[in-house]
Amino acid sequence: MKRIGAKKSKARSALRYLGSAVLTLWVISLLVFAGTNIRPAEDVARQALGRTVTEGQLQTFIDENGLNRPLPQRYADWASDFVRGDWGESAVTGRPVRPAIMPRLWRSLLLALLAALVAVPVSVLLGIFMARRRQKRSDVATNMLLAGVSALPEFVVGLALTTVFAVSLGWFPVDSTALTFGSASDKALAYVLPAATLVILVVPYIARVTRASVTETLHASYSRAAVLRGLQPRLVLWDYAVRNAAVPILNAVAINFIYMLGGVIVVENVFGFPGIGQLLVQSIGRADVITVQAAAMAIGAIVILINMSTDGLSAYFTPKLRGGRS
Amino acid sequence: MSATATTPAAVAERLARKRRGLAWARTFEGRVGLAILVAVALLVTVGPLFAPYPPNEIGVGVPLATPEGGHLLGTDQLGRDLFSRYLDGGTTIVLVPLAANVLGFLIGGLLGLFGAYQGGRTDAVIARVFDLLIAIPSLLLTLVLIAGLGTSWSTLIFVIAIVTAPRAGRVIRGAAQTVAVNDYVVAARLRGESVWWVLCREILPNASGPIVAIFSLYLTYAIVGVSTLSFLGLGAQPPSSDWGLMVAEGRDVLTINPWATLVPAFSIGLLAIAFTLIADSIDRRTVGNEA
Amino acid sequence: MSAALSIEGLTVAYRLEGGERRVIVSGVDLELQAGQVVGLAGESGCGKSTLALAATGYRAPGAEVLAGRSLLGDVDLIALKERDLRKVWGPRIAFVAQNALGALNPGTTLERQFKQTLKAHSEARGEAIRTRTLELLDAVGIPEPDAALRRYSHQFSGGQQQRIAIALALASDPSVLILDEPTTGLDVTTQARITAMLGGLLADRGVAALYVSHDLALLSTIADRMVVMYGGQVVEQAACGEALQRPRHPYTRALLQAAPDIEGRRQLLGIPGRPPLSVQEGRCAFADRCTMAVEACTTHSIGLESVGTEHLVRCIRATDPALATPPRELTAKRRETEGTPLLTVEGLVCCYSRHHEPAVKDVSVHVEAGEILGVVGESGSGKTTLLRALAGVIAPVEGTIKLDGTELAGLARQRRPEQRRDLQLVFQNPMSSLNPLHTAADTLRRPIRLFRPDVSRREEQATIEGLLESVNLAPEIADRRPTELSGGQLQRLSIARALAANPRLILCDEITSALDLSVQAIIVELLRDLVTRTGVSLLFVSHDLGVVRALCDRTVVMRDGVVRETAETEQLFTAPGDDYTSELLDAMPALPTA
Repeated sequence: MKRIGAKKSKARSALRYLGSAVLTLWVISLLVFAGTNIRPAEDVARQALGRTVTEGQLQTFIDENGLNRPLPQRYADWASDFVRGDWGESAVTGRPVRPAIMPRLWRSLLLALLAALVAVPVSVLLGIFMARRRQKRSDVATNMLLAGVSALPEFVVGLALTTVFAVSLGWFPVDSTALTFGSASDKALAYVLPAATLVILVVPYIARVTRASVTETLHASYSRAAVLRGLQPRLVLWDYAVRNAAVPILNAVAINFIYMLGGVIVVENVFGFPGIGQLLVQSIGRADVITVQAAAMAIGAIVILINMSTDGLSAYFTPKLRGGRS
Repeated sequence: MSATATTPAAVAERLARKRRGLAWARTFEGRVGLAILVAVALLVTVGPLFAPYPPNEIGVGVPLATPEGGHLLGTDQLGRDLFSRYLDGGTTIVLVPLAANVLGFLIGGLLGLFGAYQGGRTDAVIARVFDLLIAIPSLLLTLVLIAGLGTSWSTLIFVIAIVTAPRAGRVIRGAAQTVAVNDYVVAARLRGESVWWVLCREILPNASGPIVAIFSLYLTYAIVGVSTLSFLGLGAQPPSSDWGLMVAEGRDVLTINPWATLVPAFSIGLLAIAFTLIADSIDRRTVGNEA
Repeated sequence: MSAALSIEGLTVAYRLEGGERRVIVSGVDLELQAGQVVGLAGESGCGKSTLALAATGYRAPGAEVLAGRSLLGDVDLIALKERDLRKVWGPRIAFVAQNALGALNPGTTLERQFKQTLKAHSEARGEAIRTRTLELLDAVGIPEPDAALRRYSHQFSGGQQQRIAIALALASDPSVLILDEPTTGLDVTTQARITAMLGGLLADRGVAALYVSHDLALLSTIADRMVVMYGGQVVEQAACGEALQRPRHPYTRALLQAAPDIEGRRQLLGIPGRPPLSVQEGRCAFADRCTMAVEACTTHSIGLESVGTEHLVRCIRATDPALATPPRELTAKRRETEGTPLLTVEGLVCCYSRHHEPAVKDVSVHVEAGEILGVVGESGSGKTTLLRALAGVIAPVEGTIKLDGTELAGLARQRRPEQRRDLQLVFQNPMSSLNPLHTAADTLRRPIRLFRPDVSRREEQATIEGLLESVNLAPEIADRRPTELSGGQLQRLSIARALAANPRLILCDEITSALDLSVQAIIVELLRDLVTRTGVSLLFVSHDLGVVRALCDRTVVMRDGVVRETAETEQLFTAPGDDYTSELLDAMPALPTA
């Protein structure tokens, strides 16, 4: 009986996560649509076609793109097309948006993933190390350094890295154009500086959260009780302190993963990295509404995926969330 | 219930640590942050008076001169003096984020406090809306709104405020709730005090520590946000001498004259660092997270 | 017979944030014999817990052992390296802390915690570990140990959690067990069952135990010897019965006189002042609070002297005849009340949410004018919910509350101002019930402005001082903020805030439970005095039957949201009319009477 109850509540909470994910995606779609359709139809058309167009050309554009229909109807059409995989054609380039976006999306994801693969273990281990050495002078200095670095804008870090490692030392390319033209090794090299920039910006936050939560659990009375039962320090650190600090650390990682998707937008523009962020910013500059919508929705969808997996993992690490009190 | 947890001496010590007004300014981080802030404030207010050339005058030097040629930071493609532009360009990076933050905290704070005080369904709805908006990466939301509203300083302030509001609101709501569970707030309600009195006399003054800390922290985010937009060409527009825009313009000649990029870039970085360090020191003092 | 654990001259200091060093425990000598339980008593801040933890050799953050040894057989735990301590912790000496939920790993199942603990000190693996775990859980009285293994700590009740923590401590068969307030915060009936279980286990296994508690009556039920600490030093040490019936140190005597008694009605004597923050050398630390102090008490350092068989006392007046009288005499006096009902509650039902069972189910009680009505019950009995409904914090779902025959609205803000004035609530935790930014005068001024139109602005200051005086606070207190006051002072200020409104009934929610016995006694006597002087009525909610017996005229016993018995206090204690009342009374540890 008990097991069935537990399964039921598991299924229910999974459903809740899914529901909240769909809700978030819906809100994003509303915002994206509203954000890109706030302005009068003439403005949109004029910006897409350039300044020197006739009234007739404008009118044709508006009719072709259905810009004069009521907003809710336009939203419904756009949303249903989008869900079915028809992301529209760019009014600027005249080409379908989806094929233009997908390779860029994969490159951006690869970049974020690479950065995360380096950043997460480094920052978590650094945080645990700092928690064990709390109150020592080195810890205070490291903490302040991390606080400072975490405040820097992406483009500042990116440009500093470029100046040192690309301009002065010449180890890496100044920009990432190699990704479109260069050889395999050039391509690999082109990932290094953008990924490093993301790593530098993400490590401080996760490390500081890890440090704070592991410090807390390390001083919790269950850790003291474990020490007083003669358990090995390694066991106390990992099975008592780190395990019970897992949820805040996991949340910090998730927040930073999502943050990185934003950071990717900037970093790509610093290094000329042909990813989805570069496309998004270029399209905003060109008033390419269709592309902006598609790119924003793609990024939004990935954010949702990350949120969902975090919720699932958090539940795994918090027995209280897994089953009811019996 | 427990006898030891509320040992008066222990609690008194804990509380005494909590409330020492400007104690944060005595910490190391607090001092460093404050020093940077004073320096930048001087630069922004008095700096323009010392500019050797008018910031937007074209051709005061050879185009693309490096710092050796008598211009401290060199000149740009149009032959404008970059040092003069640098001295002139710090104002926006301080004022725009500040305005955006104040607006964002007002919107978010009022909603958050309203929710925390009302409780129940109203609170749940407000909290849910905050959570939904926070789930969207701030830069993505900013870009989408900018795409629709265009780029002017007022839209920029509005957009950053909209992005800040739910985040500020959540923190303020949380801080208020932490205070609101205290029995002195219950006592005030039992006396029949007005909502306004309870909020302004009992809750807000006792929640001010974390709120001030978070304001300082979000000022960092706003500075990063505004300068990033300018860097991406979606914030300050030419011929503004805004630091973020200077970085973007200098980026093309990074190999020739790195200083033209690095000096404004690091100034933005320092300003951001200052507010983070201040937030950090206030937080540690008032919230007492012992970190 | 050699001692299982022998503490010699242990001196422990804490390093404060500013780098200042504060000596908390000084020169403590103590021996634990196999099969014997030594009780360690004293107010909070006397160094009991610090001593208990330091004796295990554990180096708490900030703590530093300045001198002394803690000999486990011939091994000095203080000098041992951490690597070697790990071999001793568990199989030879173990520790049980106060908060049981905090002592269990919230992230793993019981099975894993037991497995790790057993593996650390024995070669046993696999099925042997499981068998041993089941044995242990069974020994501490966990039902269905098999199923319990797969569960997490939050799935057990507070009492069960403490049982599990004890099982973990005993897992590697230690010869010495140190218990730091193991049942504090648990309900009396749970406490009684755990103490009985523990006494049996310790005796069966011949374990030597140090049992730290602030509760003398509880210690009298389990300890063989009694050690009383004050200001970081042992002030008295004797066999348990001897120490409690013929105490020779004025501090032990004062503690006994402050302790409420379920055996009879008695005036409680508080101990004014606070214990020192650190060890005071070259004088008696208690002299400032002692009624028998003479000049010599503060001029010499005073040694621990023998005054009888195995009876040591640190007092120069230990043999004074005044200390030879029995410390407690019971007086059964009942105050006369008018008998006119002031507040009448009928059929009250309170719920916190629709999905939960009501916290208060169909309760009817009344309070007479000038009466002190006690409401006792364990956690979950609904006594606090009842009080909150009366005060108007929550609205009842059903039933009526009448004040002088007029029905009151549910929430305070729906009531008329004079109704709000008539009922004043005093909260359990004094730290949370006073705004940390307001001075005492600010706190008192507000109810005066709202409820006392007769007091002009010019008279305000005098009224505030009068209120402070009525709760025995000095007028200087007016300018202080809560952080500058002690727990007892804060609670007196809270009472003054209630009095400021000139109420007819004061609702007291466990107002002494966060305080030390010495302070509790002062508050109890203050309340009794206030009622006699001003004629205000009191509804006094408490989990402590002793306090209720000392203070209340009539008593209501609640359980699971229902009133089980209402009776004159004396009758309730001498001839309980309900099984549950009897159970509660049996569970309450009693001090031995002389």
